[in-house]
Amino acid sequence: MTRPGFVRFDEVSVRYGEGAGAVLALERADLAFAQGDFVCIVGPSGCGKTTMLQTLAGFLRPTGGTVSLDGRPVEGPAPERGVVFQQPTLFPWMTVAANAGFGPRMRGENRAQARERVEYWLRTTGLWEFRDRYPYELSGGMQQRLAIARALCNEPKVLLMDEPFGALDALTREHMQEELHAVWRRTGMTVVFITHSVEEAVYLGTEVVVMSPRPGRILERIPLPFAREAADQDIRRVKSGAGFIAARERVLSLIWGMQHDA
Amino acid sequence: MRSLPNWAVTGLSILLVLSAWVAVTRLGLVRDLFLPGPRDLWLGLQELLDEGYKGRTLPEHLGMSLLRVGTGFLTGALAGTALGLAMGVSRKLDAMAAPFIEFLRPLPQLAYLVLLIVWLGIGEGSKISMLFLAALPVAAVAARDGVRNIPPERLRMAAALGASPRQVFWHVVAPSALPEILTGARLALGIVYATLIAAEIIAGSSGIGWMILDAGRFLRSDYAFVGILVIGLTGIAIDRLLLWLERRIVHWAGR
Amino acid sequence: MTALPLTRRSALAAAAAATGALALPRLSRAAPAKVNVGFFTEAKPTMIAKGQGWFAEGVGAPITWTEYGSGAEINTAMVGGSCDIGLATGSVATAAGIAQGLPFQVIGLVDNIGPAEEMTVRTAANIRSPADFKGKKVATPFGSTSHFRLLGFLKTNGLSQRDVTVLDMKPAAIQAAWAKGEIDAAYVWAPAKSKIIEAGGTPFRTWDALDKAGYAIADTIIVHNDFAKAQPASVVGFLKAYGKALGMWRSSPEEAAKLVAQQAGVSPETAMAEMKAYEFVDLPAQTGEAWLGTPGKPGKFAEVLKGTADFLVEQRSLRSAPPVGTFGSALNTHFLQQAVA
Repeated sequence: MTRPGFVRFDEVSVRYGEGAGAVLALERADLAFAQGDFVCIVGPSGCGKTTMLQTLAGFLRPTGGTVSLDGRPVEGPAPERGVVFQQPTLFPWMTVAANAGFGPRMRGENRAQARERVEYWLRTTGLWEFRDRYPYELSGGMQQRLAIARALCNEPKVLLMDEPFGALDALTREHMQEELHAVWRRTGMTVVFITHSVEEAVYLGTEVVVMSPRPGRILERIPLPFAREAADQDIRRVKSGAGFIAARERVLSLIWGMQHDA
Repeated sequence: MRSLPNWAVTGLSILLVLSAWVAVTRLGLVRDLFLPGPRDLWLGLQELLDEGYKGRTLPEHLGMSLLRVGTGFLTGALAGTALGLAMGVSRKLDAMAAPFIEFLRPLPQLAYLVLLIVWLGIGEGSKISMLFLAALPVAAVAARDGVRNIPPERLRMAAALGASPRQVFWHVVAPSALPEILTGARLALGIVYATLIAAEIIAGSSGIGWMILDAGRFLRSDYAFVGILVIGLTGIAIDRLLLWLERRIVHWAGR
Repeated sequence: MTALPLTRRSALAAAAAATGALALPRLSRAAPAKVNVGFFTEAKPTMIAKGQGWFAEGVGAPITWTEYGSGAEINTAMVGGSCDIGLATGSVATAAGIAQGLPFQVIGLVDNIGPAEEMTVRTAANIRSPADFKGKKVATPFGSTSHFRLLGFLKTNGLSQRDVTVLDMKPAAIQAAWAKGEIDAAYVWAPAKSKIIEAGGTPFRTWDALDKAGYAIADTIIVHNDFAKAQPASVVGFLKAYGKALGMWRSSPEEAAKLVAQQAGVSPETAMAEMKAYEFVDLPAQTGEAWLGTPGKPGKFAEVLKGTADFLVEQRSLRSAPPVGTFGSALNTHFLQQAVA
């Protein structure tokens, strides 16, 4: 209980089903990291990365072990843990501003205060001029920016992102990476980020957690410098640097190795 | 060659049917008993407007029918929607109510005509109840399916943003199901309209449905046709109104 | 099915023997393949001829029996050509059909309805005189002979449809509403009539006065014009079959009631009681002046039909009614004459 860590996974196991047909989606995952970290989880399909995120979001109860945030065990979804899915999952009948203000409204927060924060995050994500539009009037990238802004309007302690840029085209994706990066640097927010893209993980993460499948478990943790170094640098420049490429290849070879073992 | 716009095709098709009607009746190919001509129809309409039909004027008959349709539809659709939402949220309640809803839905209303009279009498109560019972299962199924078809991620998202279960229901579940609820409402209105004649058989002496039925008895087809036109046109008008409302309210649906 | 050719042949032989020399040339035509007859399930001698297969023998072909909800429905079926013979259809529908020029003719009568259809009042409603009907609810199946009688009753007693609420209800609905105590009176036929009398009703006699005032009602046998032309022998055979059944009712009513009861699905006692309420008109009597008359000299029934049609015009159920001659020529008594010869 006294071990350090803002976000902690202690021997977390998740088993789906019963008896012979049971699947061990996650086996004794142990992970702890500090406030302000940007943790990227990568690994092939079935490695349990989404399962892990869902236990932290509170959507899924682990069958063994505990997940905790800031010293308190996770017992269900809560606004202190903001979530962004691959699909923007916006409320289509609400305007952009109403979507962003949904969390504060539900929590009965002071209106003026909430409005101020909605404005701040919509301006930050470049959506302020679209505040009276509806989600269907936005492009895919704008919709995902709104999903992020909506999560941030709740001032979460941690932002959980499950392949948030997976459905975007390559160019939009890089822009979004840059913007998210900028937001993270500005706020010092703790982020847990799941992706299929090793390059994305290496660029954004202060740490990359590599997982392996059947059963899902943590294979290796790799601390990375690029997220903190990249401050004012152009994204292409960072990604084409020799150190970046070496780190990317190392993670890739880990994942490749798994697939050759299999 | 440029193709015609759709509204022109619609107009032409109506024009074609109308001229076929005029031609067939003018040439005396069909007896006026089976298909009254435009003149018969016009005279019939005049008579109905001036003298009414069996004690009531045409607008009175129409008014009574619309009042019944309106009351039966609104109460049936509201109750059905409430029930359907509850069924969509609670599997237990669904398991309890579904057999009755599924039994009621395809049941021809005439089947329980006598029962309604025994239970509720011959007044407006039994007529409106029949329309209510016609609208309710359709609205309930639409609302239930509307709830079931909500992407589960949307509900998780709402909970993660801090909405309580009650808030999730009112702020996310209900509006998410709204497009299907409104589509169900239009469907229910159609069925209520179709049930009108069956409802007005109950101790009739008023209403457009009864008028059509009564006039048809001795092939008073001019009155019957006027009644059919009135009921058809008001039906289209109400459906258009609902469609317009639907497009305004759930402009976001399906996009 | 193997017995069919034999019965058909014997039926033809019987018809030939019965109709006599005059009709013989017509018999050279082929018998119909099948005959569509519209009917109502009710306690009448017609049910004997139906149940015993006499009608089928009479027409010399198998019969497709179709039960209709009202005489008006039979009229519609006649127009569509899906009904060759309408059995015991009410005089109101018959008059309406003739007025509209529908393709059928009256070839005979089944009964004079008389007291069989009558007003029943709720005993508790304390209705003693016509004036007591004011403000009351009276139900009847619209378009029926009972409806016609009820409107005649109101008119002859100076009551308007504002004084009395007249409700359009099927017999089953009348019973249901009666049980609920929602109607004060009903004009209807058996079995609904006896059921509501059992459930706190009292007969209110109107029929004899109405018969005299021109609101007589009867049940007729109508035949599609095409069928009458193509199959005269079958038409005659059909009438003779009814004559035979009527004869049985006259000679051995108990046995007749038993057979009718089987067909109508009621007890023999009920069948007996219901049949006693009708005045079944013997075939020879039908050719008398009081009823259908003879070819070229139509009887009083033509006037009854004309009066009925005029009333329907007044009610605006019909647009117009032709002169009495049209109704007279719709009465085709050739077949009756052959049937009784």
